[in-house]
Amino acid sequence: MKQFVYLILLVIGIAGCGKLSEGVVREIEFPEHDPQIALTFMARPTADSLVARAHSSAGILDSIGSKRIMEAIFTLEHTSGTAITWGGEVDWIQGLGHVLTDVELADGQWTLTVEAPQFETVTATQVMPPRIDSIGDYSYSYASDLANEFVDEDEFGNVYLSRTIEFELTLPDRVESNDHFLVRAQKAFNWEDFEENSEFGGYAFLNPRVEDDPRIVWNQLCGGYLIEDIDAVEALNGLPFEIFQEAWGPDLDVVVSEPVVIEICAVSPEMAQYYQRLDLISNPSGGPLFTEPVLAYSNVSSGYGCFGLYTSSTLPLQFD
Amino acid sequence: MKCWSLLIWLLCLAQCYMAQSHQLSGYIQDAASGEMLLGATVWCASEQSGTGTNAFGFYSLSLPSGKHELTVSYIGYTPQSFEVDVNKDLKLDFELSAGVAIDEAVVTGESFNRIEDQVQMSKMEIPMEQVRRLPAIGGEVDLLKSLQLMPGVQSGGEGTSGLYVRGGSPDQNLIVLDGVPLYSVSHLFGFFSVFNSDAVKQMTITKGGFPARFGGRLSSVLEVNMKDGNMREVHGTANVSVLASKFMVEGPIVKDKASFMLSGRRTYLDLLVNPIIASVNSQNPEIQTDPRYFFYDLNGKVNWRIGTKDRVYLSFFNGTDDFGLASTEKFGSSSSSIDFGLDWFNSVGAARWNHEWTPKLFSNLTLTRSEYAFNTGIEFSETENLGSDSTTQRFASLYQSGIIDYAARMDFNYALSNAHYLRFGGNVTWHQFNPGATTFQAEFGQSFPSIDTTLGSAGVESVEQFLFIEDEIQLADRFKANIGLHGALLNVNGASFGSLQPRVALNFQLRDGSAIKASYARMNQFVHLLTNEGLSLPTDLWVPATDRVDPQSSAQWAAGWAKTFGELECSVEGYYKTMDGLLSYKEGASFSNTINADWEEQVTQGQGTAYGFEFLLQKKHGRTTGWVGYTLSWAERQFDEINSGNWFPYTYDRRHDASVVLMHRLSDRVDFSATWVYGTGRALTLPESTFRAFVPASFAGYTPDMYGFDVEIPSAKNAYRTSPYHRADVSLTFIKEKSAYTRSMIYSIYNVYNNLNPFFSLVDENIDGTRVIREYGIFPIIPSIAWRAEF
Repeated sequence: MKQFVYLILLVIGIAGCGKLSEGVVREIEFPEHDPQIALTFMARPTADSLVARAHSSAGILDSIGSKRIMEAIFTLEHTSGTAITWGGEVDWIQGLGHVLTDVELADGQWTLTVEAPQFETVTATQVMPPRIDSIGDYSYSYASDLANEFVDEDEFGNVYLSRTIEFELTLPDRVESNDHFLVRAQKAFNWEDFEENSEFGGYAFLNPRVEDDPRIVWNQLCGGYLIEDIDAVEALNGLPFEIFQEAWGPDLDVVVSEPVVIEICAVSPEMAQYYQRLDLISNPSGGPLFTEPVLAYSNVSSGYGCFGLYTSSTLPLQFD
Repeated sequence: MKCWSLLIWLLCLAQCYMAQSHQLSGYIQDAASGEMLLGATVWCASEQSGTGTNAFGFYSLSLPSGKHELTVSYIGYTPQSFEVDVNKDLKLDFELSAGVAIDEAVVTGESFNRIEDQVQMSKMEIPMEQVRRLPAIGGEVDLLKSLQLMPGVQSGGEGTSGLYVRGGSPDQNLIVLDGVPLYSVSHLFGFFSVFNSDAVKQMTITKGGFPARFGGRLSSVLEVNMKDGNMREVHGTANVSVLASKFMVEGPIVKDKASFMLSGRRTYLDLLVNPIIASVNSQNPEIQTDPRYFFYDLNGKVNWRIGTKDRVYLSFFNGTDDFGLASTEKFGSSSSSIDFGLDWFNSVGAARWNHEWTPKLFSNLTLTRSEYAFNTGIEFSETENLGSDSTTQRFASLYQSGIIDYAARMDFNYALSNAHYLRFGGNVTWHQFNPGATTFQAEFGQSFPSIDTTLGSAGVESVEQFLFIEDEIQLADRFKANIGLHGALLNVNGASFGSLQPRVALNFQLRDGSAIKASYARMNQFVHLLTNEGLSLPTDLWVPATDRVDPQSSAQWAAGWAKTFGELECSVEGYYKTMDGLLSYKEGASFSNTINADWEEQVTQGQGTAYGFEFLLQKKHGRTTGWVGYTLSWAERQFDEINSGNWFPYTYDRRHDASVVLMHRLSDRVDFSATWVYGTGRALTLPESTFRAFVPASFAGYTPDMYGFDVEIPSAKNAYRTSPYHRADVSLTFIKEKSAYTRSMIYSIYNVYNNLNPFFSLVDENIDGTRVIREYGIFPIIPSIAWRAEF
């Protein structure tokens, strides 16, 4: 019996050592992916030009990845019957995408259809949010106050300005619906600005002054805060923000007059959800291994991308 | 008031029986050490009745006047028969000798405590003697890993000691060490449990059909009892393995009156590596690196018999893991340093007082303090010396979380008659939760003000109380039941949660000697473990039910069949469990979100179901022992805010789980053991596809540009499976009697056929740009050697 046990141990030991050379990594089979049209088109009612992008989705093991579909034809149709078609190689502008010019979109529901050879046609539907502005039926209001300002000059005569601005924003409230907004500083911090060596430069940070307000969520991708009117009772009144601005250049007057431009947008719920989930996927809080996986959201029939409608207003804050 | 009414009612009921019989009571203990034997049985063949000892070795049996032959037995001990003349209430202590009958069947048909005789179902025990003989990674025997070899109990990742019982999470296991609940039971990031096998007397796990005395967790109750300490002689063990060394020493303080037990264990990887690190550091004095990791645990127990009716136990457990990395770099007259640390510890203290009020009424009072704490911190500092001026800039952050419990529990055992065995009592626990707070400190030299601030969730205090009563009833000759009620109440943040949890277990013995069992148990749990399902880490947060987070609850139905065939115990069980109030991080949330934000904002609650079938064939004594276990199971979960609200397989949903354990004593000097396990692959979420997404550079027409980036889209939650898990381990032990001690050399091989068991999976890119999904294992074939001495 003892010899038998030793023999078994010897055999499995030798077999195991043989397998040891295979290491501790194994490749596993994965199902094939059927490429679909992944669509991105974010439109506002009026614009000189808007860009639409159609790319192919790809399987995770596809080393080439998502490819642009230059032949894609986009058709935007309003419920009233108005239709706009663009796309194909004619409207393709290198570095931008399929560009739609002189945009005038009416309120109401729009359906976007994208067709491309060898792909299944996809559709997505959106309702234009109310037009947000500082005046009118769907207006926001604000108050701003320069909390402190610091100007410094270096040995070469360059002026550096830093400001802290207290900013309170009241967003429009529709009792019957949970509206979504995007608020961001137009010129965010960008390392490339420093690399360009331009004479004048600057950026602004927008931060909420209240921690843990579940209505205000930072979105890294959009470079701003997605704000949701969660509570039908408690309106989005007097949301407190702090703006930190830095600007520089050789001329003090020019630097000091540099405004902070705030973009205030009313975005469709689908667009808000798309960017919110995309942000969670792209910027996992605990790294890829320790973050609860996020399902992607899409309002496109293929399951990839988003057709979003939004209205926007710019708010320049100037402190001379 | 209600409690007193109940007590008076019970005492009145007792009077009805008193005139008809006499009470035999006492303790059953090990003849050599005086150690109490838990679950030993006393059987009276003439009356066809018997009883078992409780968690303190106490029994109480009612017998009519006259002479009776009693058989006293316990697993691994030689059964003994005693003739007793009962003409009044008697107090009789019995002693059994261990190990004499190892080559033959110990348990006879009259033993009373056969699997088919027990009302309680879904309860399993591996004798500690067998646990110590199992093959172990690095030669370090682990209690929890031995339990993972039983049906219905699954392991988590490769090599980890977490228990996943019948589709439940690790936090749903009530793990009690000498009556004190433990919160974290792992060392080395989950690869080892905190229990030192040399210090443990007995370990049982209950997976369902929970008696009313248990509460507070949904999925299982693991009772670990430390040795009381030898009352007669000083004995001990010492064990040296490649990972750690440990010792246990026990002996009398006052012979047959008081004893002690002390055990300790420490890893020494740091001690072995430190000289090497020092040598490397000496080659470049400008850069000094100092990594460290060790864990230790220390168990101690003192017990003291005060007269014949009282006994006091004092016990403690302390376990710590310490991991860190410090580095200092000098450049010129300046220097910078970084110090990262991560540690967690468990500290438990308990005082217990047993009192025998009457031969029928036994009580145990337990007062406990339990603490679990997790700390991690990092500190950077930079010192610049310019002539006589010195400027130091320092940044430090320290994250702390933990839980402290103070509890008092009173248990009564009342042997009303041989047909009614009552247990009742209550418990009050004061929880102090620290669900995570981070302290930031920064110094920027003398010219600037320093920062010292703390962010994170505020501490939460709660009071948890429960009362229970259960009755083990002989309803008919072949029909027994355990019926009970467990009532629990939690007060937290001004909110109250109450629950009444009925428990029923039935046992009907068939004429062929086998038994059909059925049970129902409703359970409630007022604490949650906020964890990432992929890995069990010390960063997992224990959090309470609050006014915003509901408690967990479950209902479990189970039915089964059991029979003993000679030396083989066979059981088959099916179960169905529903769970509510399960807690999970929301999609996209993780531990890091809780560092500076409210944890209640990061979580969502859902439900789960688990059902399955378990088979166990076990041989507990003789020259050859072991078992074969198989589980077929399903476990699914649903959260409104996860996976679009759709049901998904639980991470540890394992369709098939099988284990074979064999231990054979080749001779008096050579012992062989082997295990083989198989499990369906773990469910996991993988990135499935990718596409290029875009964001407008400006939403107001500043520029028509759009930023593009590739996004990896994950699959539906847990839509994929890792490869199946299977592994065989073997161990050979050579035993040699020395003049003063017995020496054992233990040679073991973990994963003998070197199967790659996946620990995690990743999408990787090859050098040629092609992409693959790879599974990474962490433990290939690992031979090890351990030395053990017993004196």
